[in-house]
Formats: sequence, C-alpha cells, structure tokens
Amino acid sequence: MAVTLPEGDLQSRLNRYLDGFNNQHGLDESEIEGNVVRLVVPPDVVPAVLTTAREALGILHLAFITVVDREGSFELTYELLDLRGAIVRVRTTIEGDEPVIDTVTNIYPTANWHEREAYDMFGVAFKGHPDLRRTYMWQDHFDHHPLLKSFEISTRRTFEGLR
Amino acid sequence: MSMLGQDKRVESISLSGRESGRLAGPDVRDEFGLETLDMNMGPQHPAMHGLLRLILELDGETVVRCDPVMGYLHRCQEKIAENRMYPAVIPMTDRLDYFANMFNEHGYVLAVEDLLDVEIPPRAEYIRVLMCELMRLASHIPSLGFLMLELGAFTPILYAFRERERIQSIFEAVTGARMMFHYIRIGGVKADLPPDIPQKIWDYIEGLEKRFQPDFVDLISGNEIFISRTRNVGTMTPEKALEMGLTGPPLRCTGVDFDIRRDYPYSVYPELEFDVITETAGDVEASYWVRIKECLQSIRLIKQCLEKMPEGEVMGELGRRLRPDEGDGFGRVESPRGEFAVHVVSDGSDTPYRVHYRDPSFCNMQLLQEIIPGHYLPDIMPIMGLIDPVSGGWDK
Amino acid sequence: MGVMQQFNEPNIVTTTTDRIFNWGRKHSLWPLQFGLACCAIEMMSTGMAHNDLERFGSSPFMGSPRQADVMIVSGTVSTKMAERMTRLYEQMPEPKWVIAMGACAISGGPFLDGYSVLMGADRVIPVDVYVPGCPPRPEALIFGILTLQKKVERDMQVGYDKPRPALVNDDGSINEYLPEREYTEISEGKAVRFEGIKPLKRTYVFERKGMPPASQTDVGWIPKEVKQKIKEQKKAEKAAAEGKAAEEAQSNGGTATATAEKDGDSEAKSRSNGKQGDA
Repeated sequence: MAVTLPEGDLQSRLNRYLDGFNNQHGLDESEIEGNVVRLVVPPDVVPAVLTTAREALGILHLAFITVVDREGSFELTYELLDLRGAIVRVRTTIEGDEPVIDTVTNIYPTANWHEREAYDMFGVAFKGHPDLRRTYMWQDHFDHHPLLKSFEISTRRTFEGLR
Repeated sequence: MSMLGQDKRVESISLSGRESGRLAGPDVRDEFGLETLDMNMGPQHPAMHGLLRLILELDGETVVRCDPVMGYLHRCQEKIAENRMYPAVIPMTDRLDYFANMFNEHGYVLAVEDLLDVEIPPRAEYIRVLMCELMRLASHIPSLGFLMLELGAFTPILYAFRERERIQSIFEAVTGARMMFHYIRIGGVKADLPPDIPQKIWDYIEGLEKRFQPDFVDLISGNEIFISRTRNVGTMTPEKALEMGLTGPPLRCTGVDFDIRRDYPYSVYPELEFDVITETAGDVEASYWVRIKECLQSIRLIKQCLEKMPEGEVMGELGRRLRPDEGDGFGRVESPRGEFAVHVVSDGSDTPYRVHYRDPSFCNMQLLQEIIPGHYLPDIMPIMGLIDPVSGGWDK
Repeated sequence: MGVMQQFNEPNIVTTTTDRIFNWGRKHSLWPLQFGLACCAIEMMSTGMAHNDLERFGSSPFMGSPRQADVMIVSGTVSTKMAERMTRLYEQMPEPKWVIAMGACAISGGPFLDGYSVLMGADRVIPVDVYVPGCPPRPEALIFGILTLQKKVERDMQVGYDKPRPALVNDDGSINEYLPEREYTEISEGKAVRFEGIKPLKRTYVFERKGMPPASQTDVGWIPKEVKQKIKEQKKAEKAAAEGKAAEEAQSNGGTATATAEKDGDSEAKSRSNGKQGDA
C-alpha cells in the first residue's frame, strides 16, 4: 500500500497541472511562475479546483491556508505541494465583512485545523466543517477575532509608557 | 545501516491484548451497564511536551476518544509581527519553535528575501546551513532523551543534554547567545565565525561521531522495555500520514520520502550530499531510527560545510530601512519537526502587513485525534514522542 | 508549629528554631515542574548534569503541587493559563515561594502588547524572586535560587514580620481564593492610551571604540584579515572601473564628465559603507 509520488521532469509536470486546471474550470487567472502554478479563482469554485488537484492531478499535500484581512474583503491562499518540487497556489477573495466559504476538509483532511485557526483568528466561517470551534482563544466568552485589523493592540503606547 | 546494530533487534515480548485491541463494544457496554470515563490530562502535566490539554474518554484503560485543546501559550506572534519592522520580527520568530531556533529565523528570512532583491554572499549561505545543521543535532538528540524520559528512563536525557550544552557553547561563541540567537539576518548573517571556531566544531563533530554509537544507539535501542513500549505503537500507513498533513520525521517513518532540502531546495543544499532517511514500519520505534540516522546525516553535512566554506563577506548590500515591494513572500525550510513555512504579505511600508507561520508542530498534532483512539493510556506518551511537538510551535 | 505561636515576640528560643527550620527549608526547596515556554528549556538545562541544581537541594522537580515548595514560573503566562496557574498556586501547601523566571513572567516580556498575554505573573500571584533574562542563563537561575535561599533564611515565625499566607487577611479570616486583580483591556481589543507620556531619550554609553551597528542589517563583526581582503578587492574593482571609465572618456569625450561624477558618488558611498563596517 505505497503512496505514488509524481515523477518526471518539473516543467512538464507544471504544464500538465496548468492544463488540468484550465480544462476543468473557469478560472480568473492562471500562470506558471518559477516552480509555482498560480491560480486566482472565485470563492465558490475552490472546492472543485482542489478536488481536481487531489484526484485528477495527484497533488497530495496541503501545506497551509492563509487569510489576509484587506479591510473590506478577505483574501485566502491555499498552498498545495506535490511532493517533488512543484507548488500550486490557489487564491480567492471573499468580499464583505462576514466571510463564508465552503470547507475543503472532505478533500484534504489536514485542512481541519487550518480552517479552525482561520475561523478563530478572522471569523471566516467554513460551511460543512465537522468541528468548527476556536483553537487558541478561550471558547466561552471571547467574542472577538483577534487578527482582524479592527482589533487593535497598542504597541507604541505600551512601550512609551514603560520605557 | 547494519553498522548501527539495527539488525540485532531483540524480539519483543508480545503483550496479549495490545494487538487484539480489547475495546468493549457497544453491546457489551449496554449489557453490563458500563460507561466510559471522561478524563482530563491537563495543561500542566509532568510528562507533557508543553502546555496541551487532552480531553480523553477512556474505556478501562483504552482511549476511545481524544480531543486536544490548545491555546495555553498563545502569544499573538502574528499580530505583534504586524507592528514591528522587518528585521525586528526575527527575534519573535526565535520564540516560535524554541527548541530549534535557527530554522524559524531561516524560514522567515527566506520569505522576506523573496520580496527583496538582494544577493546573499555564498559564505553567508554556508554559515547558515552549518548553523542549521548543528541546531538539528541539538534538537534531535534531546528529543530522543525526552522520549525516554517519558518512558521512565533518566539516563539518556542526561547524555543528550550534555551534547546540547556543548553545542550551545559553540553557538555562544559564534552568535553570543545560548538559546535565542537572532543570528540569521535579512541578507546574510550577523557576524562572521571567529577564526578558531571551525577547528573546534570539527573536533567536536569527530568526537560526537565516535560517541554516537555507544552513547545513544546502544544505550536505548536494545532495551527490552523500550522495544515493547514503542514497537507497533502509533502505527500509520503512508496514505493516512499524508492525509493528515504530516511532514518531517513522522512522515518519513512511514515510508514516504519527502524532504524539503532535496525536493524544494533552498540555500546551498543542492551542492551538498546527503541521504533522505525513511523507514517503513510507521511506529514510534521507526521514528526513533529516523531521528538517529538523520543525526548522522547532519554530521555528514556539517563536515561538508566546513570543508567547502568559501571566504568573503557575510552580509549582502541592503539599505537601512527595508521597504519591500508590495506582494507575497514565501519561505520554506525543513526543521527537525517537519515543514516550516512562512508567508509574508507586504504593503510597501516598513512593517509587514501580515505574517503567517505554518508550524510543523501545529499540523502534526492532528495525528493525536486520529491515532490515539484504540491505544492504551500509557501509549499516549510514546506517540507524543513520535510527533515531538514543541508548544511554542503549536500555539504560536 | 503550635509551640511557636505561644511567643508573641522573637526571643532566643524562636530565633534558634527559626535558624534550624530555615536552614532545613532553604536547602531543600523542591520546585514545581511549571515549565511553560522557552525558559523551561533553560530550567531543564539547570537541572541536568552540566549546571547541576541537585547540589542545592532543588533536584526533584515535583509533578504534583501538593509536594512542592517553590513554583518557578518559567515562560509566558497567557490569560488562559493564568487561571490554571492561580489554581496550582492555591493548591501548594504553605510555606511556598514563587520565582518569576524570564522576562515574560516578570512583565510580559517581548509579547507585552499581545492580547492574550498576562503582563507578568505578579498580576495574579505574589512573586518573591525575579530572575531577568530572555531566557536567563542556568547560572542566573541558580543565582535566583540562592537569592531565594537568602530570603528564606530571613523568615521569622513570630513577630510582626511573620510570614502570612496570601489567603489569610489582616483580621485573620481565611479566603478560599486569591483576590482577583485587574487584567488590562488589551484582551478585549481596546488599546490603552497613556496620555501625556513622552518617550525617553536613549541614554546608553559605550565604552568601546565606535558605535554599535545602527541598523539591523549592518554586519556585526568580521575577522581582520577578511576585512582587509575585502577592502583590497573593492579598491581593485574601483581602480579597474576608473581605468575603464578613463578609456571610455577618451574614446567618447562627451560623456566623460557624467561617468566621472558617477564614480565620485559611488566612492563617497563606499567610503561611508566602509565606515559603518569598521564600527
């Protein structure tokens, strides 16, 4: 029961991934940059794109999910590694102050804790997540999502008072 | 490698019941009115690798459900990093995985150099790799000691910390600090090696090679108690390991050979020769062997670095205030716990807009929820030794 | 010590018994294993063979608070952990002491402005000895334990200096829990504004020649031979560039002044870079 890792030359694999993504879905942007296949997709297409990546193209490892709070919208970046030198980076933008997106836990089970952390820090709700609760903050009475730009911590004032 | 004596394994004592997995099924429970016991292995625990709370549901001594609760050391690293200038974030990254500091610094600095356009002198690259491999030694050897400490043996950790003290004194001579180095800077390293240090590192490494077999391998690996408590405990298949997003020694002990130093190379690793160690068993003993052999590979890498190190500067040409262009920078290193990746988002000012750390300890902890149910309560500790997490990593 | 409570003032009996009890207590301070973060690694190093804590009697790191004398708070105390820490402190039997090890336990440390970091362990429990450092060296922690031993030596069982447990009020009534202290409002996302506080000017004095590196990207130190080699290399490069520029000036004529100006500027810049490198 061994796992088959992709083989072959890096550039041909990157081209194959790009073709695979282009054939299956309507993407906003897709290009190859170095050893990275960069995709920009609308948020409702993300589970389909990741399903293609896992099943059709054999990309087995989800490295991380980053959320960036541009005031007014949220930008998610999913980074996938095929374990032999190629990277696939999927980027979506969710508009508005209440971000909701479908979960990818059924495709990549490792996204479970990444999505919990995103929910805890930013308030991004993942529809269909089996166990969406906070990771770091105390679960009961902490109503804020700390990494939003509207949650301020006072670095300069704290150090002014103490120096 | 038979020179390590791995072939001369002692046959393990078979414990009846471990393999058959004596879990009372639901029908037995209803018939006898049995209930499961909810127990809490709290944040402060003598045998825990940090502040982790495990909510366990036990059926006798077998764990039915395991739920880790984290957050007892959450230090707001990502938020604080948005208020510091780019070079001032480096001491914060030191405190992430505080057992192997150089890798965190290296990962962050690679991400920022991805945004800038600076040429790093080759001597600086070799010094970075040398320090990182010494740090890998200083991290793997005590992690074996911790594994044995939780199984009840006190001697291996004393031997391990003796090695770590010696490596820390080398670091003190080079960087000035025992633990939080703040040595790898954006564009190079902070200062050059003192002139007598390469010889000292060489002498130390040769001594360690001679000491390694008797002090670490023979002391632990033939021990009957060690084998019976770590063989066939926490067994994983390669698919399960990749599904759970494991990287590093927990993944390589199942048989998948994925090492960022070889597959996504950075720094001068393309010019150095080393092997990627895998084992096929997938249990705690296999992870022990992976770590032992990785120590020997690190020794090999250190020797190559010392031989091949060129002369020259140690810091690239950079301005005073770093203002990278807008965009994203990604850096990825192979830390002793797995893949450590950093994503830096810059908006053109002199503080980062967002820094996201992907810790190997955080991602490897998902193993606990999946693997522990079905094992006995005392097996939790060797499985934590398989993952070898550090609480600054999973809590950021 | 019911016998001691019969005496209201220190006298020859109580000072002698104080000396005996304090001698016994200070040479067997058993720490509670409360390693939170990075300072815990240095605490472990202190207990290991090289920096031996066992020679001071503090070797057994107790797992249970019921058997411990000293709680060494080593590492950052987050607000989630502070509740558990006070609970452990209340579970320790008298006499008990607390050592705050590391900058994070003293005052929040490098994570001072975090929203979930307690600005010092002494916001919730009483601390006896503060050991600064980030992390403090094992020798510093041993010095902290020796300081605590000196403090234990001064304990008096009777008199107005007699030690009072934190759970006993002045009038003798016993609390069950420690009094609650205030957390800051940073954990609610409201930043505290300190009005009217001016930043202090930097006032450090350096005894060695030259100033420290002024920016984080300046190199700290290079061996002398390497520095000279790099200088010679740069001079050789400049001479070659000037030689080429002179040739081009002779062949082009019009652009000579422009290249000469550029060379002059780069010379000035490299001279200032060299000055920073010398420091």
